[in-house]
Amino acid sequence: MKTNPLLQIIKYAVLALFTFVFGYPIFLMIVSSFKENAEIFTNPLSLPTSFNLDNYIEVWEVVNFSNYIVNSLIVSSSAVFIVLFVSSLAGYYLSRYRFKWNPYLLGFFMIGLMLPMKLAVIPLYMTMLKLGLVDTLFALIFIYVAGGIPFAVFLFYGFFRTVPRALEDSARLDGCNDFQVYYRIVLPIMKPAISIVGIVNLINVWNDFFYPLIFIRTDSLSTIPLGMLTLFGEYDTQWNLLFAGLTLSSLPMIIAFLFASRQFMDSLTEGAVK
Amino acid sequence: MTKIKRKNRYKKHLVHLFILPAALLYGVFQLYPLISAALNSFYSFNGFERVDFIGFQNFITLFTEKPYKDFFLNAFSHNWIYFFVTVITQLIISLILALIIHSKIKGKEFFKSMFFLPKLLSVIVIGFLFSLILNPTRGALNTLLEAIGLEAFTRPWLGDMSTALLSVIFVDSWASIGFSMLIFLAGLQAIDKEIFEAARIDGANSFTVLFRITIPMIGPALMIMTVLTFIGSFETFEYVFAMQGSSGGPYYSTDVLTTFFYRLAFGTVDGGQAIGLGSAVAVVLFIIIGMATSIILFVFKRKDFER
Amino acid sequence: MKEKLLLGMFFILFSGVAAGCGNGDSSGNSNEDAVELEMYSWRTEDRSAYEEIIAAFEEENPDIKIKFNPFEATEYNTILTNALVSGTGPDIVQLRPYTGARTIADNGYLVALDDIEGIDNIDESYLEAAQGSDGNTYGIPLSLNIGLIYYNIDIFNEYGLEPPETWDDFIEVSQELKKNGVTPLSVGGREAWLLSMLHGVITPTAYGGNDFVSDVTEGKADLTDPRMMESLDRMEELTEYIADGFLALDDADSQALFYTEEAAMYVNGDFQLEVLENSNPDLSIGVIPGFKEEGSDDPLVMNWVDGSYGVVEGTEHEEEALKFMEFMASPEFGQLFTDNLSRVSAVEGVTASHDTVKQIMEASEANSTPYLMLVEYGLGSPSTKGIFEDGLQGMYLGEITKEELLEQSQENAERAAEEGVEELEMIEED
Repeated sequence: MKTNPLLQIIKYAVLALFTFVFGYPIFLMIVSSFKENAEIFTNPLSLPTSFNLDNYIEVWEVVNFSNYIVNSLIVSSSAVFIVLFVSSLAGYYLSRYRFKWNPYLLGFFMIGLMLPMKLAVIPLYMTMLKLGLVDTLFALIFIYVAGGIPFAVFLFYGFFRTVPRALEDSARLDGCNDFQVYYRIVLPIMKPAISIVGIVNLINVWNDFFYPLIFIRTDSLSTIPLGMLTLFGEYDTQWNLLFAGLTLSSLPMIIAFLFASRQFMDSLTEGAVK
Repeated sequence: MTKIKRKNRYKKHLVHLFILPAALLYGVFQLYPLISAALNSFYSFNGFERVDFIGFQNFITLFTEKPYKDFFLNAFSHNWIYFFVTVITQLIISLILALIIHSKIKGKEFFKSMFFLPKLLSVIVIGFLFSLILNPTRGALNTLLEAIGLEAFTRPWLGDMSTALLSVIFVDSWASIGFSMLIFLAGLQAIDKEIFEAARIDGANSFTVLFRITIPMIGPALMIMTVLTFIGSFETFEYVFAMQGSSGGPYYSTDVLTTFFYRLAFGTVDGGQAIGLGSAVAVVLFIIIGMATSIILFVFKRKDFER
Repeated sequence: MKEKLLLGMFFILFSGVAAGCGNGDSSGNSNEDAVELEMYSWRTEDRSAYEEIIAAFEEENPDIKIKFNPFEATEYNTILTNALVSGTGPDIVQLRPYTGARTIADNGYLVALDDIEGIDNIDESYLEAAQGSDGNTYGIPLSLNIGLIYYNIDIFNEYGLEPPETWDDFIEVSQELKKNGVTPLSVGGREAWLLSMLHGVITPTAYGGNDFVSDVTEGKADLTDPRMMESLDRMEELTEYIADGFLALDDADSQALFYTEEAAMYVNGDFQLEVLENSNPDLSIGVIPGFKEEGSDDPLVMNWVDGSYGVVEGTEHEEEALKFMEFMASPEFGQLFTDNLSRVSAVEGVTASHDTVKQIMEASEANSTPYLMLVEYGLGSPSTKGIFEDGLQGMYLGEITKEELLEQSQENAERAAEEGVEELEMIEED
């Protein structure tokens, strides 16, 4: 197959341009985190005059980062796990069993897809309160699970409908019951769907600041984004510290991504095909 | 056969456990609060407590009384601008990038990762970062423009009526392009390679292939992404809030329905709350987005029939 | 087997989650005998200073512990509302001045403080900032805020300039600075509230100060008054001397322009003094507390009462919380507050050791005028103050004329007043 050399040049030029557009702000954030405050203000584009970790050490001392990271880990891993677990079961149920209420159930989940949950934050708060969950990580986990369910159920439902029943039927003939069919046959083939739901939810949950702001009161229960907001409040004009904080808060996700970017991308693209 | 069926029926009640946890969690923590919030729009409030059932009065106030009707129309029009601009800055660009990466090119993985990177950052981080980049006096963008001799294009980006909303949308797109690019890539990879081969054998050039085969084949993905963008543009809140505050400044030029809702329902630093009116805005938003979602469902159904 | 295992896991997971729920409750009875009070505030930047003050209180009252819990100022109202409606959480809360405190008090969420010891240490007029519609006092005002122009003494000396005493002086000085390539004034216009503040600091001598305010309270004048128009003329004239693109700058940016000595003057409340001093310790900061009216020797200083602290109705530890209120009304607290935060305490008889704070305090005692927008126009959703300051942005951007700005603000003020009346009637019906 021949390729037009001019076209190739244009393609690489476009890619280079966008690499700059996407990479430069992040580069700037990291570089600025090593500067002194006045330097950021007077020479926003220059490289730092010296590389040292003073800003990081200072931020680490004033902000309870290790705590925030643990909280973020607890909240996002449990929320993602529960979403995957309950939604795949629900999606399977809706696509494989023909109960007369299934269409209504599907509609019931659809409502959540179309409505932004932020608009319901006041009643949500009251609900959490009745359950005694305000200012606990459980409040966040439940909210993220509930918020993730509609999309996940919808995706799993669509996914199961494209998977032929033949496999399951033959397993049934071999004497497997419903749970065994689900566990042995269905789960293994739905890896792509699990990845896409898992990744989308993980990114959303990890980076959310709105719900922690409303539901978390105790500093030791803060997640990373909420901790960042507190930092903004206390160090209003100390951009060097803020940049160090921003970089620190973004680091866990970026590192995870760099290690697994290939699998990450592949599962996302594979998952979406189905 | 019959034996297996009987066995299945015996276990059948257990099957409902499949749906129960999802329905319960979602019902209690999402649907119930949403319905309750919607019902608030039919009440008058004294501060933050329901007082009287007043029917549609809040909606009437919202659409007929100053300053609410002006705020509403202003915000509503911004949501539309948000949608149209996002289609260009996010959808079209991500489609072009997906097409380039899908073609014969070196370093696919690098570019994919690079373009996806911003999606990993929190809105808090992005908002703050870009507030500084777009700063008029020492922001990186204006400094850069000056450095390459384009002083004429420097602007107080976030403080100008004509550029503030666009800047926010660009920042939103900056963060989201990588994700929609991957969705398009998925669609492209799903196209059977043999179709391209057949076309080439017939002597079609790359432009013909692009417009006659590739674009029509990912049509459904494009359609769905467009509707999702519509929903996203009407639900948009975080970027406006993080960069321009809850009043959508300067002078409401970045105000959208959700920030308008936020001001009414939660009040401002020195303004009171109007939960009933805020909930009315929310209900209108529910209706707009509900209609758009029905379109998605319709598209999905049609896609199913095509298979 | 597998099936049972799976089911078992399923139940363990959910029962585990449910059982875990009860443990994390925030009311947190500690094992010690001491009562712990939770205190909400929006002053995240003052955390360490507050903790010192609280330590002084705890030393005197070893059986009471106070947990200072500050939140982002922009989210504070939401958080406070949620906490109050739910009836759990804090024992002591910081209240927004005037209408903010009144709304919460009128909804019955606060304990009246009229009888606590030491309340007469605080000027009657300051207490008004924390009173309900019933005239009872529900909060102990903490500090007096004063709007000022900060100026860079070194820059002024360099060009042989005196700090301006009147509006005309100010223009002269600004022209001189501009001629020398120095930005005269830096204002973070992206944050609209700073424009209200700017209006309050720069224009009282244009709208006639306290005469106009009393005309407004008596209903003899409204916002469409020609005197208001004069104040807007002044705001407009100011444009030339403010940093370029100031509507794109937030407060942090505009502070930075001032403490990096690019701008010679900066307008904000006295509460930013400490921040400025910390940001650049080498900066020599002077203050212009206001302009002089014709025939007056003292500048007219805009002051207002900042947030106050109140006790939440129905708290389990009302007695202990009231004890802390008494402490807050005491001269001892006022002194600690002034010393630790470089602020002007609302408690009488406190002397400032910081020279600049002392200067501000004396100027404010000599001749003051209220923050017109906050005190008279804080009512409504949206508040008239909000409409006015957002409208100022509109005016600077050329979107609306000065006439339109005043008309819209007045319209909103009338609507807000009606809104308020309805609310009161409804309370009576209950």
